[in-house]
Parts: sequence; structure tokens; C-alpha cells
Amino acid sequence: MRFDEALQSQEEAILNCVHCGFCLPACPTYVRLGDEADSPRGRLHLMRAVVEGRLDPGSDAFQDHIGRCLGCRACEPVCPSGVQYGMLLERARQVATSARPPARLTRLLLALVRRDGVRRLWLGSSRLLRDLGIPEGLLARLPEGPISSRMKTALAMLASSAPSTLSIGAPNGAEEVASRSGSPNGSGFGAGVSVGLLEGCVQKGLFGRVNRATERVLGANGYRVVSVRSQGCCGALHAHAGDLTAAREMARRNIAAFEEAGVDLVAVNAAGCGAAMVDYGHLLSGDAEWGGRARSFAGRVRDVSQLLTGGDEVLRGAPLPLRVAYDPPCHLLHAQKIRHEPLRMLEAIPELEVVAVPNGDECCGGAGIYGLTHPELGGRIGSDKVEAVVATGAPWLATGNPGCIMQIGAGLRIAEAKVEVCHPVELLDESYRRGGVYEGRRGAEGAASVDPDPGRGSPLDERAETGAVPRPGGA
Amino acid sequence: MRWLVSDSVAGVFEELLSADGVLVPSADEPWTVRGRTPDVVALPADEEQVAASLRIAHERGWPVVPAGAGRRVEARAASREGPLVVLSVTRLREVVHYEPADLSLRAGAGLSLGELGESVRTEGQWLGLDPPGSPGRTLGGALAGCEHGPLHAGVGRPRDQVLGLVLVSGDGRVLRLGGDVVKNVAGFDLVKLVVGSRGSLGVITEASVRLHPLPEVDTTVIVPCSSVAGGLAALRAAAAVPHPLAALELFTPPPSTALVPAAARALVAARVMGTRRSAMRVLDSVRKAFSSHGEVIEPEGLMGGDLFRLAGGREENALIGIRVGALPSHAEAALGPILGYLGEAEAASESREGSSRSWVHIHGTTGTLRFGMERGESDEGEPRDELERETLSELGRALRREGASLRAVRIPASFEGVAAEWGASSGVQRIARQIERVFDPAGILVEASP
Amino acid sequence: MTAPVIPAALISSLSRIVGDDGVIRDPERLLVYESDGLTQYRHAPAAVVLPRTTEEVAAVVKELAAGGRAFVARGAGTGLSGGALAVAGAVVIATTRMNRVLEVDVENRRARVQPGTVNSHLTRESLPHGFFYAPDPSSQSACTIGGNVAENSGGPHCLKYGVTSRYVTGLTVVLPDGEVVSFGGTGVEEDPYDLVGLFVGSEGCFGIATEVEVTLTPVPEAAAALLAIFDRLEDAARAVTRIIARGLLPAALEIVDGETIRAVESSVFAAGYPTDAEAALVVEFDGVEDSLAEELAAAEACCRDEGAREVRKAASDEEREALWRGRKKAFGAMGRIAPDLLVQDATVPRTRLPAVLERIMEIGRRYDLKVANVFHAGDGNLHPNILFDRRNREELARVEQASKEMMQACVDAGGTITGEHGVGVDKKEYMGLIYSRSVLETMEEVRRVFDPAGLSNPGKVLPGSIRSAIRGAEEDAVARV
Repeated sequence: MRFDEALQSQEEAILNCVHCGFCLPACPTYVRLGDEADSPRGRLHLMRAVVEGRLDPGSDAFQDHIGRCLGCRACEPVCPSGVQYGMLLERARQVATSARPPARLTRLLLALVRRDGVRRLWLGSSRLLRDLGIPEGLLARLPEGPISSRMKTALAMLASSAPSTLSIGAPNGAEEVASRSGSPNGSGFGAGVSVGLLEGCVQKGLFGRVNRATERVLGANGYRVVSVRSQGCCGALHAHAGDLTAAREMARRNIAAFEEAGVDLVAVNAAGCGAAMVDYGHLLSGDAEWGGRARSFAGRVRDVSQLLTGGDEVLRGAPLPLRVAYDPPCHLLHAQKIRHEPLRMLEAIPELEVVAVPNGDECCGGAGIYGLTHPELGGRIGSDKVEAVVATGAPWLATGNPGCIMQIGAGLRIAEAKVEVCHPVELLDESYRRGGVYEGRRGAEGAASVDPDPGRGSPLDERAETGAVPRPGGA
Repeated sequence: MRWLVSDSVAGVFEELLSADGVLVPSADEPWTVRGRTPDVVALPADEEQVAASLRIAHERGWPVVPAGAGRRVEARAASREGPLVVLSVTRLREVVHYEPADLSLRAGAGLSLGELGESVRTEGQWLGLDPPGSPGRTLGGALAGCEHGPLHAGVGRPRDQVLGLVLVSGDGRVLRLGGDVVKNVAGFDLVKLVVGSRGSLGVITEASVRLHPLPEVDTTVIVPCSSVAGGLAALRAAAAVPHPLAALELFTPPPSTALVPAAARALVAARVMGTRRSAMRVLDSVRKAFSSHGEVIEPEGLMGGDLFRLAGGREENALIGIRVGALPSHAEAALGPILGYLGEAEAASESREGSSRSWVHIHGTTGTLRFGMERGESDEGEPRDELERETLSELGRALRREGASLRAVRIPASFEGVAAEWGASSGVQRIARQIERVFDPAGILVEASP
Repeated sequence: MTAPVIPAALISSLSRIVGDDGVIRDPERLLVYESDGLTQYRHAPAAVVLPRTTEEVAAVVKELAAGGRAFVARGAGTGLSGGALAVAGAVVIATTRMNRVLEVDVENRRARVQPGTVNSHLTRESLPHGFFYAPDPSSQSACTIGGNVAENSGGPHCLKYGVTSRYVTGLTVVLPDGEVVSFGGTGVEEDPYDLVGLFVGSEGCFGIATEVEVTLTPVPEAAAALLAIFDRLEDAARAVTRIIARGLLPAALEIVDGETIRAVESSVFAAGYPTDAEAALVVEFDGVEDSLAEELAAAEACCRDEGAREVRKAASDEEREALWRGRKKAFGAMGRIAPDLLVQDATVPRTRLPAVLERIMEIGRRYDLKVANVFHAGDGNLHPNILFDRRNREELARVEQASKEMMQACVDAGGTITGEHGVGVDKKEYMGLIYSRSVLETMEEVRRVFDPAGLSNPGKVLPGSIRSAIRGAEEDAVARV
């Protein structure tokens, strides 16, 4: 029997698992299926069996159960022994895929995001379809049935990537138009720190508006947002699928790109990408040339919510009297242990009422391409999340990851729930816009604008009319 | 020729236990088992003698009634063939081990609760066992009996107070069960099986019990109410107090004490234990809960358990005593039929003797009701049947329809048939009978009433 | 290791009951069921069945009984005595799909749950009503109520609140022949014996509990805690005795020894306990707020009298959480510093703690082993943990010898061989240390009342010599790795 070096070299890490079982109730697949093989402890046990030479990595058991993991890493914070499950899962996936190639659909999806040109074409055409309202139209016409359900999910996900009505009345910047002024500002707590934003693949293709919003709010808080030209996909999807070779290649490309740009910090607004990039050090640990550079890069990666809550209080905007449910993305909460920052960031918005989604710590079932590769189980997990969101009674849901936005959005759409989904940073951006933060104000208490647009002030907002920008922390 | 049999039985036991270990009941030394005089009372001096006595009885098939200090034993012995042996553990009254700092004590089963309480009180401790009855009751008897007093909501049931015990099985095996430590999960918990088994599995000769530190404050607050409905309202209000109470009970009619106005139909009593500060807070809440239901009395000098013991006295001396289990939310619904039945029974008895009094005690937090009739002047000897069998049977059916369950604690022999109607499911009965065979293969043990 | 073969006909009957996705038979998929929380033993089941209801469990058990096939119920598999190990070709009946809280009945202060309900989930469901489920084993975030019933689980706060058996009031049980019976229940007076009390702690040998009724406890008004630091472990143990003797009744009294402190502090779970200390004692009180301060002060005095060099007090939940952190993270932290950990469990009378601890440390030194103690001191419930590397055969032999001697030391001090983990397969040969042969035989006979054919969790609790009359050789062939 042959077993791959990828797991063999991690025997000590696997042995850190003392088999206590604390991870079981945290695992969405175990909770629903009740089979220990679909739990973190069970999967680690299977990995151990492969290492011990007792289990063939090409076996159905290994393939199914390792494949069925969402990779949400909810098991990590509850592990008393600190087992690095996410890292081990990627190694296990690599062993699994080298023993048996993955399904066609998985390969296709990974190929689509891997090459820039292909990705641009795919996401560009998807965006075009979306903006023409095609998915919505098709959704209404699809017959019931098992084949069309997967199609339905895909269409609903695409439709859910569309901008919300949050900024209706405000012009929507063209999705892919880069507009970085990089104007430094000395007064916000960003205090001239230079940041480069990871634009991502899906994020860039379908959520360009979130990237623009991120740049604006960072700028408003004093960061100098620098354009990083030759960056690409972060490689998270590939790593999760076990294609570590491709993931490493992408990591190297990004490390080089951000090094070249010479930025102090790397800003991310997609939790999945952030989780992958803070792990670049592990990913390239065996690489003599890149190992050190990867660790240094990983140490500079920050989620946008961290950047906005790292120092003094974040600049406050105009009131947004909305009730918003917040659902933490797994790759923020579990993988990066970022729990409070997004909520603190939203506290900068007066009158915004933020409510927690019940059992919000659980995965939405999006998990990268999980909804497409495991439609049945992903659907069950997703519909539980939709139910929880609806139970809050909030008409808005904020979550900081494109995959989650589309997964939950699709679920809400299919369930015909009247809940709109957005990225938390979009809320802050809108609050700033209404507060006139972007109206070219500089000076003692002014904030920089990266995309000044005098036409954006809302006539509804008193403060926008008077031009009074609240002080950070005041209201 | 009954005396001959007795003679030989006494002889056999004299050989085993020597003369001072055997007593043949007489007019000077009266012993009765439900009106029947036993042939011999065995008074073994130690565990080995208990074992030897039971082995003999097992071999010869002589019925044995395990007993504590009481000389009037309520056991279902009427139908037993052969010589009747009472085995009393009153001579096993040694404190085997007492280390106050371990909060546990191991003693012979014949030690009375009163004596035990005295010896631990000097160390600032107490035992959380309060079966109805006199302080003369033995430790073994309290554990073998299935009765728990009002304290069980506050400190747990009797079985929760037992760390280990020695049981001599019906065939004379000495079984040292459990241990002396507060946490022990080694093996099957046979201790739980024995506690409350009413002597049907063997004779308890020794027990190790958990003790509690004496609280700074142990006091009772009462509220007499002019109606049962008023009492129930007070009970409900006190049960909703968000602090643990040591005991909470409704008594109707109130036990006779000078503290309670004669006009009161019901009395609700709450027992509070704790540090001075915490007790003050809890007492405050109880007073508030009681205040709208009557005049709250905090009797000076009334020790925490006194009133409950007073009420317990009538349970111990009852001619008939029945526990009714119900969900607390259903307890009130069960009360109506019970009061109806008691009224009828009392009227019937008054027309004849005018001596019986009935009572109902309701536990405030568990929904357990106990009701019964006090023993009248002429109740020694043959049981009377003024509590019409059919009426009681009807009451049982009515209560069971409402989801309540019944257990006869004390009942006249002629009512045993009625009590049998209240039995557990056939599956449970089957398990129970098989367990009895494990401990008492020859079936010699006569379980306590009913 | 390959799992025993199970007839295809039996598999299809089981599938008819629980559905195709409710039966696992592929030996490779069964690998994950070869151990519970105690990994020293590996024994894969012949199959795993995942029922959802009492009726399904009853039908499955009937089917297995008809085929003379042994079975073992398994919850989350967090047990530490090998209680859920499937020996003798047994089929695992997993309760993981039976995880519903059926009812939280506030008025009657009780809840009814399916056995696969996670312990802490019951408390989570009860808290909004002002109640909680008191028994809190350290694994409460994962372990199931069914497993707690089987093992009669304890936990840190059992000092004041008592263990599982105090809280279980009623059970629906599928007997080993498939008959469904119900024992006890709130307001049920009619059972001739305390069969609920007997069933709790029977380690799955009397059947499978498929519904559990428990008492809920009102959430105490307030809680406060202190952490006392000692230079000698014995002093901490003496402080425990002093606190109890003083008449105080803490909710928890927990000791973490120096070895453990250093393990925790050198790990990612550092809790700020001083690394040069030899013991840390956590004392917690709860109840009516008014008296907590004076109880805490009294406990502090007890600690100082026994030589505590530092006492930290916590009033807020956050501060309390911080004091507890070192205690709660101890087990996992030890997992990080040694590949293997033998978690022992024994109870001794509290007053014997100082002497027994000294003996345990002496045994550790004599066998040249690292021993770390984290334990429920208030209950006298010790957990000497031996750290080792199983791949070192010679060390493994020393571990087993030392472990045996530690058990004997606890028994000699008037203690017992397990306070809360159960006997399982791991300690059945120690049963003779505390019980006579006739007691063990009586236990076996009682077991046969419930399970005459010996099918329900065979090979557990009682020593092989006692059980051999039934299926001895086969079931005792438990592989130890």
C-alpha cells in the first residue's frame, strides 16, 4: 500500500488528537448524519488509519468522509488539544485526490477559477447574465426535480450575488473599474498605513462593489489603499479540494505581487480568502525559497473588520435605521478566530440594530463549492441556516464572505423569504456615504475619500445636508 | 401443637444466637406482626449471626420478617405458612466509622436515628433523613422503608444519602455494597435497589451515610389558611420562590399545635436552611409569598423540623397511609377526589366509633400527596373495614385515570387486594419478581406492609 | 483489524427498520467506531445502526436478539473506560440521531430528552426558563445524556449538586430482548424497586435507555470563585479538608497540580497560573448573593491557614471564567505535551487525599513516570494522569504496573476504583479489589435478570472469571493496542 507523504509527515499533528470527542457537536455534518465517520474525530481517525497503513486512501470510506467535510473548521476552537484540523484536512484531501481523481464537476469548477482568462470570461458572462436578470427569470420557470434542483441552486446563487437595495438611489460604480486614489490621511487610526486589497476571484468577478466599499471605508479611516496589480486567486478553493500544488502556485504569485507593491498590510474582505492566506506559512512550510516569505506575508494579512477595529474607535457614519441579522462566516469565526471585530465595526453605524442569528456559529453549507458538490447535505445545512435567519425577523442579513452571501442568499430566494443579504462593509460604506464622509472633506477631522462622488449625498440625511461629519466615537 | 413448633424454632435460634439473642414473645414482651404473634424474635448481635439466622430460615423455608426497633411490625405475613420469625437488628447499633471531616458515617443498622443525630450534632453535622416517625426508628428501617419525608426536595431522597451498606441476602450471603466515598460508580448500583426494598431482598446490617454540615439557620415559617383552596394558593406561591427551600408542605387539617388557630383548615409550612445572610433573604421571599394568603407565623423556638415531625407522627401511626404521585401541575386535580373519599370514609367511621381522623399532606415541589386515616382506639388487632374497600378502589381508579399513581405505605390486611390494583406494569413486576429470586431464592422474606 | 462478518440477511432486516442510510457495515467505515474516549483499546463493531425512535431501537434489538447477536449502545463515544467498545462481534446501536429535547416542562421542573441529546444542549434549552441540568461532566459539551445515564456521570459541580443518578427520575428502556418498559417518572410511586437508580450506572448492560426524564435545577442567583496558589500539593489537599470541616458547602473544589500547571502554561492555553507553584485550588460558591462574600472570605481563610501563598478572587462571570481556565484546559494541554495519556479515576475519603497523593507521586517517581493530577478534590475524586509514549514498549509496561499500584493505594485508603468514569473493559479486573466474589456474582445474577442471553454490552463491568459462565472466552478477547 502506498500512502502519501502529505499525511505521513503530519503524524505528530494527528496524534495531538486525544480522541475526546469535544468536536462532535460542533460539526454540521455529524450533527445531521450522526455517523462518527462524518465527524472531525472520525476523519482524523481515518487519516490516522491511512498513516498506519490500515486504510487505503482510495477506499470509498476515505473518499466519501474526507470529501463530505465542509471545511468549516468549527471543530478547531472547541478542540482542547489544539489540533490543526484545517491543515490536516487539506493534506488528507491531497492524499485522497492523488489516490482517486475528484469528480468532474469539482475539477471543472476549480479549473474555471484557476486561470485568469478563463475566470474572467466565466465570471464576466455570469455577471452579465445576472445583471440582465436571466437567473431570476429561469428560476421561476424551472420544473421540480432532482436535476433541476442543482441548477436551481446555481442560478439562485448567481442571482444572490447581485447588489442589494441598500444603496438604491446611489449610483453603483462599475464592478471592475479600479479607482484607487491611495490618498493618505493622517488623522484616522489607519494613519497612513499602506494596505493592498486582495481582490479575489469570485469577489472580484461578482462582488466588485464590496471591494470598492472596502477601499472607501479603509480610506475614510486613514489607510492608504494601494493597488496591487498582478495578484490573483488566493488558492483557497484548491487547497480545500486537496490540490495543494495549484494552491501553492497561487500563494507564491500573491506573495510576490504584494511584496512588489510594498504594502504594510494585506486587506481581505472575503473570510475564505483570509483564512487561506493566514495559512500560507503552513502551505509553503516545506519550501526553502518561499517558506519565510510566506510566513511574513501571512503575518500581514488582516480582515477588513480587524483593520477597522484595531486601534481607536472606528469613524462613525450617519444613522442607518435598519434591523440586520449578522451571521459570522466560518472562515472568519473558526479559522481566523475573528468573532467580535465585525460587530464592533457595525457599532460605528448609529441606529443600526444588529441581531445574532440563532446557532450562528454553524456553517451555512456554502463551504466553497460544497453546495454544488454535495447538494443534498449542503441543502439541508443551508435550509437550517435560512430558517434561523428568518427566525430573527430581520429584513437584512450581513455576512462577510462571498460564498456565504450567495449560499444564504440562494436559500432565502428559494424559500421566498424577504431578506436581503449584504457584506457588513457595505453597511458601513452606506452609512459613510449618507454621512457625507466621502464628500471630499479633509483636514482636522475629515476623512479621506478614495472615490469622491459629490452626487452621492442622500437628501434624506440631515447631516449630509449640513455636511457635519461626526467625530470618531461620537454621535 | 403450635407451641411445640415454636419451641423448636426458638431452640434452633438459641443455638445460633445464644439465649440473649432470642426472644419468645409473650404478654410481657409483646410483638405483633399485623396482629399475629411471631413464634420467635431473633436478635442477632452481629452480621455473621444475621447471616447464620437467614441461612437457617432459608434452608427450612421459615418466613422471616426483617424489623428494626418497632414491636408492632406491619408486614404481609397473614398468609404465610409455617413458623413466623422476626429478625430485629436492634443489637447492631455500633458506630463503625466516623470521620467528621469526610462528612460520612458508617454504623450498624440498629442505631436509632435519634442517637445517630445526637452523635453527629456534636460535630456540627446532621443526617438528611426524615422518615415520618419517632426518633427511635432505626437507620436500617429508615433505609429499607420506601418513605421519604418533606426534606427530600432540599437534600435528596434517602437513597441519595447512602454511600454503601451491608445487606445479608435472604439466603444468608453477606453483601458489602457501595463504599464510604461520595462518588463511586464501580459496578451495578445494588445499593439503590436495596434502599426502599422494605426488607424483601435481605436484612440491612450496616450503612454508610452522607452527612451535611449543620446550617447556621434552620427555621420554619408557617401560614394557617381558612380553606384548603387558600392553602393551595399559598403553597403555589411559595413553590415559585426562586430559592431552594429545605421543605415545603401543606397539611390539611393542620397538625394539632397551639401555634395554629383552631379555625384553620390548612397549614402551609416552609423550612429554610442556610447561612444567616442567605436564610434572611429566602425567608423574606417566603414571607412575601405567604403574606396574601393568611397571617404569617414565625414560631419562636420552633426548630426547623419540629412541625414536620409532628405531622409525620400521624403518618407513622396511620391505620391507612397512601402516597399519591402526580406531576406537581396535576397535584391539585388529584386533591378533590381524595378529599371526597376521606370525607365519606370519615363520616362512615364516625357513625360507628367517632375516633378516626383523616389527613392529607401535599409536598410543595414534587407533587406527591400523602393521605390517610389515623389509627383509632380500637385499631390494634384485627383491621377494620370502615374504609370501604370498594370506595378506595374507586378512588384509585379515578386517580389513575388522571395520570396519578398510588402506593400504599400502611394498609389493613383486608385491603391488600385493593393496593394490588395499583401495581406497576407487568414488565416491571416481572423484573421485580426475578430480582427477588436473586436475593431470596427460597422466598422466605416477608416484605413490609402492604 | 477486520470487523467480524455479519450475515447479509440481518443487514437487510436492520435496513428495513432504520433505512439504508441507518446501517453502516463497510469494515473501512467502521474503523472510526473501534474506540471511544479510551484509545488504549480497539475493537471494531460488526455494524453500526442509527435508529431515530424507541420503536426503531426496540425493533433493532429484537432482530439482533433473534440472531443471538450482541449489541452495545453508543452516544458520543467520550467515555474513558471503554464502555462503548464493541467486543464479541457486537453491533453498535448509536443514539446520535436520537438527539431531541422532547420537552422542557418548566412547571414541573423536569425535561424529557432522547438519549443522544448532548448534556450541555439540555442546559442551553433550559436556561431561558431559568433552569439548568446540574450534572456537568467535563465533556458536557459533547457527551450525551444517554451516556451519562449509563456511566452515572459526575463533574466538578457534583460536590454540591450530586451526580447523574440524583437527577434522573424516569426512563424508557428497551430491554435486551426488545421489550419496551418504563421505569419511574416524576410522580410515579408504583415501582416496587428503584429500578431507575439501578439502571443509572449500569453501563449499558441492562438494556438501552431511549427516553430519559430528568429534574431541572433553578439557576442560582449568583456565583463567586477563588483561586488559591500553594507551594505544596498536600497543603492544597489539606485546605480542601479544612473548608469542608468548616461547614462550608462550595459548588466546586478543584485542584490542579504543579505538573499540570506547567503543562497548561507552556501550551497555547496558558491561563496565568504561576509555573513555580505546586498546586492551584479553585473554590466556587453559588446561591443567594447575600452570603457569597462571607463564604468566599471563609474559604480564603482556610486556604491561607494551610499556607496558600496567593489567593485571587473573582466575582464577575469573566473573572470566574479566567480562574477556571487553567483547570478546564488541563486535559487537552496534557495531550499536547505527551503522545499518550492514561487518565486514571478513583475516589478516596477526602481526609486521605494528602496521604494518597503523596503515595501516588512516590509510585510515579519509583517507576520514573511523569504524573499530573487534575481532580475533583472536594469529592475526593482523583485523576492521576500518567504521561507516556505508547511506542515505547518498556515504558508502557511501567505505566501499567504503576497504574495498578495507584489503584491499590486508593483502595487501601478506603476508596474505590472509579468515581465517575465507570468500569467498562478497563477496570473490570480491578473489581475484585473492592467487592467480594459473592457481591460480583450477585451483580452478574442481577444483570441476567435483565439480559439472560448476555447480549447487551458484553465483556464489561464484571471480571472475566465471573462472566465466563456465559460467553467468557470470546468476549474477553479484547485487543489492547
